[in-house]
Amino acid sequence: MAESYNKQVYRRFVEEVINKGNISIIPELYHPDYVDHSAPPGAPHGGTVFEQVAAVPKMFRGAFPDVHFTIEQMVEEGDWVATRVTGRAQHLGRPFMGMNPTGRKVTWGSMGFFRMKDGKIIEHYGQPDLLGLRTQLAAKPEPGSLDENRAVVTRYVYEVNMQNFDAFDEFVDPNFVDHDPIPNQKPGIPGLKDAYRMFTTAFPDVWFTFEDLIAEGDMVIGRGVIEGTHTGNFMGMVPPTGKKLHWTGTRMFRVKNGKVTEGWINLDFLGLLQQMGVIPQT
Amino acid sequence: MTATINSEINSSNSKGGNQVSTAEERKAAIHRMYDETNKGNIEILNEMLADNFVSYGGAGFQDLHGPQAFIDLYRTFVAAFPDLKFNVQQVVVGDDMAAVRGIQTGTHLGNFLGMVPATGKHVEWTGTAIFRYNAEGKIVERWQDLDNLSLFQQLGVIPAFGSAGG
Repeated sequence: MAESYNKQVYRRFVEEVINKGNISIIPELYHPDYVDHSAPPGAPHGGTVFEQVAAVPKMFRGAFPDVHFTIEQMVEEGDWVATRVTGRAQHLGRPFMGMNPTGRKVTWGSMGFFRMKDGKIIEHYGQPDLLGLRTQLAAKPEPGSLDENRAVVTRYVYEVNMQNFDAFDEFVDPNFVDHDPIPNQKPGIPGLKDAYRMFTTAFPDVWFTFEDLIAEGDMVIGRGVIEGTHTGNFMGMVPPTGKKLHWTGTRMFRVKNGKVTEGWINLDFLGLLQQMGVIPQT
Repeated sequence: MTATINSEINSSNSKGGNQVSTAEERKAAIHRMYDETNKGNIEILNEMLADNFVSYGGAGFQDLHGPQAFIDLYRTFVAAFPDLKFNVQQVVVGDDMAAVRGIQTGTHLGNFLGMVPATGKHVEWTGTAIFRYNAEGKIVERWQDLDNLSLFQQLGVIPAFGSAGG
């Protein structure tokens, strides 16, 4: 039997808005008189319906860039649809509920009641298991576990994003080997700091977000996106263009005893130089 | 790799709970895929890629949908570098994903991407690919980053300055 229209509306919200971040379809799914009785912590009060609804995927996807909700159950009666979903994600992005990114893989349940009017969601009561989610994020990982290795790499990337290079000693091995150094990079932590400063000079707001992170044995590898505004000279050769630039990167690390010992990186330098206008588009 | 490797793919908490392959089986399949494509058996990709496969562009390439579009792109690389090889250095698997890092080598004997005429140069560059698998064990999504700057510098398209990053 085909799924009812109301259920399809909720499914589109989950599969398009939450799982893909496609907030542009919110007006097709939410009624202009929408009222959320259970806005999650951090969601804005007031503002337009679009702003209120869009804040939820933005917050989740900001903290959990690979967030994925699976619809387990939908029950419909009259103009109400009751739903049960399972969220799965890694905490790779921004801080969430007061916790800096942990790299932790989490799974949590959430139930919701949605009232429909004119084929759109007009009212919502929800109960996400935020305590269960927070408990998983706060749990201390076992030494040497995949969770710990993910936490180390996630912290490394976060502290680099925050340009808190003084914290490196806490999670970078003194004999760190950079397999993809910049030209003439010094060995160890001092060289690593120089390499990052080269980027922060060119892009003072540079930010790397992992969108996937895979751990096995002592290796952690992930892909992500980098954003930054080009307001400084890049590698001593490209004067600032003032442009907001966006490129991809894949990073691999070896982690031993709670510290990163080796690093590899592939960046879309070509795309970056093309956006700077140094190289013509391919 | 030993059976005692610390991997989440062999444990019971896999995402979705319907994994059909172990970490070692998936690694073996990845090595086989590269061994075969290195020998020129590009058709093996039809076996490995799901019908709804997507390869995300990034790094100067378009998104590609379906196995055939990816095979076609691969052939444009082979046309430019007939001895193209990807030498796998590291495979990391977990949950429904796998990542591969290695060094790609080739001799530039044909036009590359319709814009770089053959130089006859032997070139090599590093690359990383990440795959997501469906419940049948086929690859449904692929992402890549490669040292495209170094490649274009080696081909003489871009002047040489620093290549890698921190």
